[in-house]
Amino acid sequence: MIKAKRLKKKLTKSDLDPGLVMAANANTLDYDFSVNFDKFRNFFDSVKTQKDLKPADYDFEFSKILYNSLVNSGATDAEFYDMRFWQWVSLDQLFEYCVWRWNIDINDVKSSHYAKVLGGGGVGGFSLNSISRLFIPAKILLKESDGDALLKSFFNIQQKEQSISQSTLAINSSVFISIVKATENLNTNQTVKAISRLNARKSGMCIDAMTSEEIADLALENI
Amino acid sequence: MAINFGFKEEADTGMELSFLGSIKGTENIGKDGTILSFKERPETPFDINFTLKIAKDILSSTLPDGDIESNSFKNSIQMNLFYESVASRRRGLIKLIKDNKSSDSDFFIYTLKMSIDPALWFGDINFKAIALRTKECLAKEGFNTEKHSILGSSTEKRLYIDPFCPPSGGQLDVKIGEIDDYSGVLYKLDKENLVVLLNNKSPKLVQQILSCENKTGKKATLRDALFEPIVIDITEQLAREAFKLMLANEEDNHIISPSDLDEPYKSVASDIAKQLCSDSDSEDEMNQSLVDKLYDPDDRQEVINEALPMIVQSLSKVESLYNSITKVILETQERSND
Repeated sequence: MIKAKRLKKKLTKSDLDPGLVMAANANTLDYDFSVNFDKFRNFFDSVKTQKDLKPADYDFEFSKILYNSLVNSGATDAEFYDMRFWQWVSLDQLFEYCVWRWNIDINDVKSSHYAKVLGGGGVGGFSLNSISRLFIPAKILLKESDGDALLKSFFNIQQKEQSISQSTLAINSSVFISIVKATENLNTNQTVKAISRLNARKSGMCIDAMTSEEIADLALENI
Repeated sequence: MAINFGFKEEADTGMELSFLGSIKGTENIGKDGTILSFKERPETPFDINFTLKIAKDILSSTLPDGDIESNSFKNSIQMNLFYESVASRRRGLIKLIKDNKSSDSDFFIYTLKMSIDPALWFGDINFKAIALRTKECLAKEGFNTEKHSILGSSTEKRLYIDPFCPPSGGQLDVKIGEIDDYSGVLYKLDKENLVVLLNNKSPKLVQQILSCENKTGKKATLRDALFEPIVIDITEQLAREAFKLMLANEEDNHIISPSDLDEPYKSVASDIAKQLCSDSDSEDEMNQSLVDKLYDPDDRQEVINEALPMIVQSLSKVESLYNSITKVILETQERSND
């Protein structure tokens, strides 16, 4: 167990030292709850050298383990939706996982790699950070009776994950669940088409007011 | 002015959402009370009171039977407050309550109190009122009769929970310097230092005009007109660089939002998004539409090769500046002919 922390201010690219390292003078603040990432680290140790599967193939398992580690820790939505918390987790606690997940060479950091530990602020901001992208969908989907299957299907196709995460509609958790349900058995192209269809209708129709079935009907029309 | 029945845009003009009363600790940073910002991040929960004023005649024009006092209206049209905060990942609807005492023969008044726990909110929250059809009615051409169709929406209000910081670093300095890599060029965008370099080997007269600091007069008019095509080109170069940065994570199927870029790319990409996606309701939606367009390879080509050159031109003042310099030249010519 370790006392949970967050960065005092949200870090940007210029706040990191070479190799995506958090500067020694980065200020953190203590929360009044503790976290334990041992199960996450143990699972990481067990899979990191395996060559038969890609890191992306373990997203579902990591997502569930992370969710179970944090959900009863005492953390609330105030922490779960605060990127400063996830930056601390990514840079200080689970950095090795972040590097492994995206095959980052810390001696040759590309501009795209910064977001993997810093996240972003736009619609898909939480899906950019390597750790919050695992937690947020689990937090929303695992409350459903078929949560495991939904979470698995969400991470099954990376393009599906990104299309849903980058849709402003999916900021509404109920709509997020409905879209994942509606696209559960679709392939990549069908998923992109379904989400595009919802995005195209949102200025004239209030998707947020629809039931899960109504959202599915609208998304799957002509698919 | 005639009203096009059933078209949302017309009904929008008849819906006015306001913050009712002041919110302690905030200041007005927008026009007409549209945008409020806390001066310091609030630490304790607070309430926001809203009032919605609807012009009955305009809203009634969106109904097939035009009867805004009917039971059918009461049972099938609902006024809602729509809120969205991208940074907090929160978005939803709250039903507005009709205030019969304040409503009169011309206007319906609706109110709502929304409680905010600042611990759960980050960045800003956008609000707008929407008139929503909750039950389908008999289809009639020109009317929104489907369930969940939006009959009208108010202009957006915004509240910054985290104090608003005006964008900085969105301007580029212009310097006279050496351009070695190509011959015969007049200027270059130095992306590393974010300055526009004017070639010190270009004709001295051109350098003098382009670097003149007069605020008014013929020289200033000539400088502004000559400079504007350079501004257009530099803006296009910055936009292309901004798109490149947005696509840095493309291999993971993630396109970065303009709001996550550093200046000046953030401002340039946001300006492009506003022009390209002007039918979207909010800045976030506009940015998201640009992200969606860059995500699709065909749309991306269209944006970069067709829309972008026109957008950077329409963002510029080239037309009015050319008009000014043309007048100056013609007047000078006429005087010399006299």
